[in-house]
Amino acid sequence: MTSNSDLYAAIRDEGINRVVKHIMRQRPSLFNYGTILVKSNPSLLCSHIDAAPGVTELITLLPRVPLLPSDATNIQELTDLGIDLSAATNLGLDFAAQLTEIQLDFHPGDVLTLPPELNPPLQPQRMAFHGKLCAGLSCIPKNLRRWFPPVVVDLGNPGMIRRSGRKLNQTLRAYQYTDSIGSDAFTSNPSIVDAPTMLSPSSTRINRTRIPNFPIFPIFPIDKLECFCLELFGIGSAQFQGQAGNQKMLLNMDGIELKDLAPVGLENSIECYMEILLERVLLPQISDVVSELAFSLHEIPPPPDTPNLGSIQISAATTAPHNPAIEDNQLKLFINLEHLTLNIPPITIGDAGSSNPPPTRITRNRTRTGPADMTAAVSEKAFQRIFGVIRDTGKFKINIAPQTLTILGVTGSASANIEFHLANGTVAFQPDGTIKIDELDIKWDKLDVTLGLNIPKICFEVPVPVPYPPFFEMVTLGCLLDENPDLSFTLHLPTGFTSEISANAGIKTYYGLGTPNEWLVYITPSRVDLDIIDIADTVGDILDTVLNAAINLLGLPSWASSVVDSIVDLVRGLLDIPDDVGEWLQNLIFDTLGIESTIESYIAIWLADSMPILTLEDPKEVMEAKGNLIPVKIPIEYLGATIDDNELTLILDVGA
Amino acid sequence: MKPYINKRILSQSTLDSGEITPMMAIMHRFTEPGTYNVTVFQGNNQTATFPLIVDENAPQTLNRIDLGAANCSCAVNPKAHTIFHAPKATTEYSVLVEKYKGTAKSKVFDSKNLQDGDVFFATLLRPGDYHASNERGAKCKITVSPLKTRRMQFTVTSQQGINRPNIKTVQVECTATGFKPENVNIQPAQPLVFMIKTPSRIKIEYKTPEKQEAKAS
Repeated sequence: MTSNSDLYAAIRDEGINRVVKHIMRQRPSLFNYGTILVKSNPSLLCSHIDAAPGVTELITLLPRVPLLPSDATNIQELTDLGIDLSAATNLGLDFAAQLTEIQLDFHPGDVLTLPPELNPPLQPQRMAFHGKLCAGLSCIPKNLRRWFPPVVVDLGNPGMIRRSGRKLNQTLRAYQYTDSIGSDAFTSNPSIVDAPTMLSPSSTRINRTRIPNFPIFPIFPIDKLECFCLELFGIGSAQFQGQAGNQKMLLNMDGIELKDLAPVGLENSIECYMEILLERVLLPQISDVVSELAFSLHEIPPPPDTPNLGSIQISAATTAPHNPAIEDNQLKLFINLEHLTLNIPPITIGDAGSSNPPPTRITRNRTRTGPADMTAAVSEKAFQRIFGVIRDTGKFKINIAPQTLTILGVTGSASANIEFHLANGTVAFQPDGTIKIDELDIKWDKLDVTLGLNIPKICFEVPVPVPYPPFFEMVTLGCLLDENPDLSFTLHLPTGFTSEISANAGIKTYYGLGTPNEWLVYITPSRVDLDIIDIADTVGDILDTVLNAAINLLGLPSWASSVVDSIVDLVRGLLDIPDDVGEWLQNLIFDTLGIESTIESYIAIWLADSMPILTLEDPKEVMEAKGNLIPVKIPIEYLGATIDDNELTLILDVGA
Repeated sequence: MKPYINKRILSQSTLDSGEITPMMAIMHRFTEPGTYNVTVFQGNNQTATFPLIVDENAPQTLNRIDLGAANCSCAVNPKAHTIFHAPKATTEYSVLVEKYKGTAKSKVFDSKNLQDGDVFFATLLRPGDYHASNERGAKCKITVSPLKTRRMQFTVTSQQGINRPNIKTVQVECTATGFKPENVNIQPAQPLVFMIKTPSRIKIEYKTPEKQEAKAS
C-alpha cells in the first residue's frame, strides 16, 4: 500500500454509508425539517423517521412557507386595480422536507443502480452519489375547502386599509374540529393566535414553546401533507494537482440526474441549475477549503489547545498512478510526510513497583471479510522518520520508589531518579510481524541513587572487672549515636556514560472493558536487552564525599574528623563496600537495586501495558450533545494492526 | 529522620568525678548488709531518692545505677560492686548514699569525695593533652594521640548483634603521694581506670591550646 508514498489511507463506501446511517438515526434533526404543526404531529411526515433510542428532537423547526414572498407582492399594476397581495405574505403553508437516503458508491459501484442517463456502469476512478428527498406541503382537499369561506386576518395594520375602502377588520372565525387543532384560544381571542402557540393534540390548553416568533398566519386544518420524493444521482471524481508545497485537491462533477421528474424540461432545468451551482460555486470552494486543511503546515494540537507538541505537513504523493484512487469500492489516499517536528514533554515511565494495572483486556476477532471500512498504513521509511524524531526529541524519566534493603543485618532503603534520552540506533520492520530496534543508545542525563541507612547504635563502653566469669562486664559510658537514626545520602553519579538497548516488539490490539470501552493498540516487546556500560571510576570518590557530607550534617566539631572517619568506615563496612567502589556501585545500582532489570522490565511493561500507542473509544463520539440533542456515536466493530517488512497497517470496521 | 547525635560527648572537655556525666562512671562496693538510701543531685538540687538493699542473699552481679533514670529498687550483694553512671545525661549528677541505723542515717558514699577502694572510669575522645588532678595537687599528664587507624573503639549494636572491639583499658592509681603513672598515652575512646587509694576528687581537663591543635590536624 505504501510503495508509492509514506502514508496510505483508504475508506470504503459501505463504511461511509454505515456512518451516515448512524448519524441519521442519532441526529435526525439534521436531515428532517418541518413546521411546528409537523413537529407536533410527526404522523404527518412523508417518511417515517427511524430514530435511535433516546432521541427526542426529530425535526428542525422552520417557519411556514408563505404563499408569496414579501418582495413579490409589490406589483404596482395590481395595487392600482385594488388587488392587495400583501395578505399572501402572511399566509403560509405547513410543510416537511426530509433527506431520507444518502449513499456513496465507489468504483466499481455495487451499492447504487445508476439511472441510464448517467451511462452505467460506474467508470474507473469515479464515485457515485445518491440522495433522496421527500417533501410535503399542507393543503386542504378541494372537497373540504368549499366548506370554508375565505378567511381574512385582522392584522391590526392600518396600512392594510384598501384603497377601495374596504376595511380588514373582520375577525377571524375559528372553526373547531374534532381533531386536534381546535382550541379555546381561537374562540376567545382569535387575534392572538400566532406561531408560538403550539396546539397540543391531546389538550385544549394552549402550550407555548420557546421558538422564534413567526408572522401570524391563519391555520388551516389539515390531516395530511401532500408528499412527493425526488431522487438525485451524481457522479464525480477527484484528483490532486501540483507538486508538494503547492498542491490542490480538485473535485469534479461529471453529471447529475434527478430521477423521473416530469416534465423533462423541468427536470433538465433543475439539473442544469444544480450543476452550475456545484461547478461554479460549491465545489471550487470545497476544494479550496479541503486543500488548505490538508496541505498547510499544522500545529499539533491545533490552537488554541496547548501545549504545542510540534507541527506536521503532508502532501499528496505524485508517483501513485491515481491519487486519490477511487477503486475497489474505496477512496484511497497516498500521502507523503513533508515536515514533522515534535516537542515531546518528558515521558515519565512511572514509579517502579507501582505501575498502573492495565484495564481488563480481551481479544476480539474480526467478523467481516474483505477490505475493512477504513485502512491506514505507514511505510517503514516513514516509521523510521517518525521514530527518529521521537528518538531525537524525547526525554524519559524513571522514578524507582524506595526499596527496602537488608545488608548484613542492617536495614536501609535505596531509590533512584533516572533521566535519559535516546540516540543513534535503527528500527526496522521484520517479515515475522515485529519491529526490531537495534543498538539504540541510552544517554544518561541523571542518575541519582538515594540510600537510606538505619545507623546502628554507637556507644563507648568500659570493661568492669567482676569476680565471676567472664570476669568482666561491659558498662556503657556514653552513646554517640542512639535512637536508631537514619542516615540518608544521595549519590549524584556522573552521567558521562552510555548504555545500549535492543528490542524486538510486535503490535497487538486489545478490546478494553471499562467506562467507556476502548480499542487499545500496544507495542509488545518480546525482548529487551539493556547493556550497562561501565560507570566511571571517579564514582569511588563520590561515595566518600557524600558520606562525609551526610555525617557532617550531624554537626560534629571540627576536631572530630576521626569520629567521622570511623562512622564512614562503619557505614562502608555495613554496606560491604570494597575498595573498588565503582564496581560496588554498579552492582548495587544495576543488580542489587535492580535498576538494569527494572529498566528493562519497565520499558517492556510500559510499552506493553501502560502506554498504548493508540486508543479508540467504542462507540466513538463524533458529534457532541447539545441541548436536547444526544451525542452522535459511531460503533467501532473492529480495530486491528499488523506489521510486515514493508509497512505497519491499521484497519477498522464500523459497526452496524 | 535526622540522626540523633549526643553532642555533649563531643563538646565536653572536662571530666570531674564529683559531677557524673556521660563518658565516666564511678564504682563502689557496699560491704555492710542493710538498707541504704540513695539520693541523686543535680547541682544542689535533689532529683531522686530511692532505697538500696545490701543483702548477702542477693546475686553477686554488678549493680548498675543509671543516674539519669534514677529509679532503682536495687538489691546488691555485699561482695558485688555498684556502678553509678549517666550515659544519656545532659547535665551533671552527684550521688550521696546513706545507711540507715534505725531512723538515723550515716553517710556511706559521696561521689564528690571518693574513698579508698572506689574506681573512677573515664573515656576521652578528643586528641590532645589533658591533666588529671586531685584536690591534693597531684597531677597526671594524659596524652590522647590521634588515631592510627580509622576505627575508633566504639561498640556497634545492630540487628545483627553487638560488634565490640577489643578494648584495652589503661590503669592509673591515685595515691596519697600522687598519680602512678604520672604520664599516660592513650588512644581516643580508650578507657582510663583510676584506682582510688586515698580520698580524692579527680578532675581531668583539656589543656592543648587551639593553635597547636589546628596545627596538629
